[in-house]
Amino acid sequence: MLSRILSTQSVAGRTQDMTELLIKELSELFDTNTVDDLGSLYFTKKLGEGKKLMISCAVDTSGLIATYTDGTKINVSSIGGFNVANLAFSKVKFEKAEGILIPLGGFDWNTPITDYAVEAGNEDAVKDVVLGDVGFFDTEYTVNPDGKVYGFCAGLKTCVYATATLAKKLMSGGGAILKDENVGEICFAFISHENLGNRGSSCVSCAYNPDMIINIAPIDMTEKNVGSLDFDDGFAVKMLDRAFVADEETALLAEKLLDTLGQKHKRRVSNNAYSAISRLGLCEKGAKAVEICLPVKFMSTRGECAKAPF
Amino acid sequence: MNSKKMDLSLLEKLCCAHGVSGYEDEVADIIIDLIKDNCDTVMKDSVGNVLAFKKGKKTPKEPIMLCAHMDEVGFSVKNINDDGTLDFLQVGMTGTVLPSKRVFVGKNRIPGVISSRPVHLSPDKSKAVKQSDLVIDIGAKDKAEAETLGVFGDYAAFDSDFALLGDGLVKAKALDDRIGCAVMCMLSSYDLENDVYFAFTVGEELGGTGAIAATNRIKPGTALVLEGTTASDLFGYSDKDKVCKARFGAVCPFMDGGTFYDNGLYKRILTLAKENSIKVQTKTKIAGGTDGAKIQRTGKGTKVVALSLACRYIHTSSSVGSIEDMESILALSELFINSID
Repeated sequence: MLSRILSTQSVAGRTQDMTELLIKELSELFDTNTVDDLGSLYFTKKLGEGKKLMISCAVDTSGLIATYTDGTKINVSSIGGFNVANLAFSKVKFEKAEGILIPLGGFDWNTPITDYAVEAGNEDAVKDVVLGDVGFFDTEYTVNPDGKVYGFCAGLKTCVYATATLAKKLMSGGGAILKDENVGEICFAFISHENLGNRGSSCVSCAYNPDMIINIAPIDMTEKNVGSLDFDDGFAVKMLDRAFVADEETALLAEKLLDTLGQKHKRRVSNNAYSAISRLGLCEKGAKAVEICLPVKFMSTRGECAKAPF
Repeated sequence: MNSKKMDLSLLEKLCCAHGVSGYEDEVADIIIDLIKDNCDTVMKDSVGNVLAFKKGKKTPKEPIMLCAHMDEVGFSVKNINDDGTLDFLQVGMTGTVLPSKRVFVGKNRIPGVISSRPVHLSPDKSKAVKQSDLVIDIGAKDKAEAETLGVFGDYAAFDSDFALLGDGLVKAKALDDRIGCAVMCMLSSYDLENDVYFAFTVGEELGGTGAIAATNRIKPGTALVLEGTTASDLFGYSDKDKVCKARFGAVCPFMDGGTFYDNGLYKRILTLAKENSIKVQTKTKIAGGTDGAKIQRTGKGTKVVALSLACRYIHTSSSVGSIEDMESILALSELFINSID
């Protein structure tokens, strides 16, 4: 499943292929699956009496969007936050054209995305590009024998894999592990529009109205306030960031579930303010929440690295 | 037969009304008067939005909402100086476009001028004027006289007339977004295929609070936002930096600073335009924002698309737009409403 997830494109706003893959992988385990108006996918199952728990992750990666075409070049803007210089000279694919991302002037670490274009070398192909078409970085992912995954947005994709695997493991045996923790209804959500400012999170929460939320997200290992964090530490249970304070009861539940599945974890705080968790709890009655994070190195570069759990 | 021509007298009435963010009542009252006989229900909600429902030939699977904001960029008086001039806060503009502009202050439309230190006496003529160096001069001799006029805390709107310009252009204040309001007023008198909700919202220039309230009440499945957007098609900008161009059709953005519009709806608009020979363009730069940002992610989420007027000098006292572009927006909006299942 990891290689299928890695090879499926899911740039923000164009996550249909990933949605279809996840439906194939998981729908048999649940009562319902729904794709909302922003493209977020969520599965639900009633287990009995007890809390409504949602386990979620973002499903959309960063990418590019075509803003103008000129001869053999496609001018672009970015989807998601990344330093374009880290991806200069990468191969980019649109639906009808492909090329290399090049700076229009000289190369400089501070050149903005608006001074880059995808050089397709082919006027006929560029003519078929519709402004607003989304382009993805044609990344090849490497998976080492130790489980480390290398490639652009490896962190996010590994979180999708982790969430899907968690779904399979927790739902095996009819969800007995969850029933033991007094979970009466479970939802697994793969949220879209997250790379556009966490826009899908609150919509899914409002639709499902959970009591508790466990969100799975990447965390930058090099971030100052994270302290020492290594791949072998397992999941970082994030208790605090600049926009969010975790709920203790939900954190304990997350840790218990990880213990049951033999997964290491460590509590951490973060200096980040941009994760989805601050918006996920914004449903009608409010939800208690925690974020469990996979450590990531070289974030937003072609060499981004995360370790697949389980 | 639904008129294809833009009603310029209706647009003039709306543009000349005052509706600075937070003070949209005058515009709301005009709109209610214009649409009440065309719609099945019209109401003003608790934040000041005007929400109307018009029955069409059929009810779509999920509600369709059209949205345009009533508020315009303007000012509010924060202090009266000893010399009778007024310090002000501005909503939605930069200081560079303000010196010497005429304004009306408050409901009583007290005339004033935005003033700064005379250019000849500026220590550094190359520096742009800061907003903190500007005041509104209402001709009061002193603070006491200004206070008797009751202007403290009041709004100020641009004093700018509505005029035809050149071949097919209009100059007015507040084309953003009285054009959206005018199109919706006209659509309210049309025979439409589908039931439609019209949301004339407040507070867009302050972050879209009205749109959130409207969306929570109407719970649309599809939303079409009608707006004004920046056209920088003069001054030698390269084509890719123009954003959009006046006279080149209705602007349908795929993305802006706040919203990634629904791709299916965006492509539908382009197809409708092509099939009906209506001029349409998109934005070549990711810039600006609309109520779409709030509508899209309120509640359970909504599919959103936008149609905008390419406005030169947007957010100034004299924005300029093309009449033909306005008619493209009107035509495409009608086709879009009628195309929904």
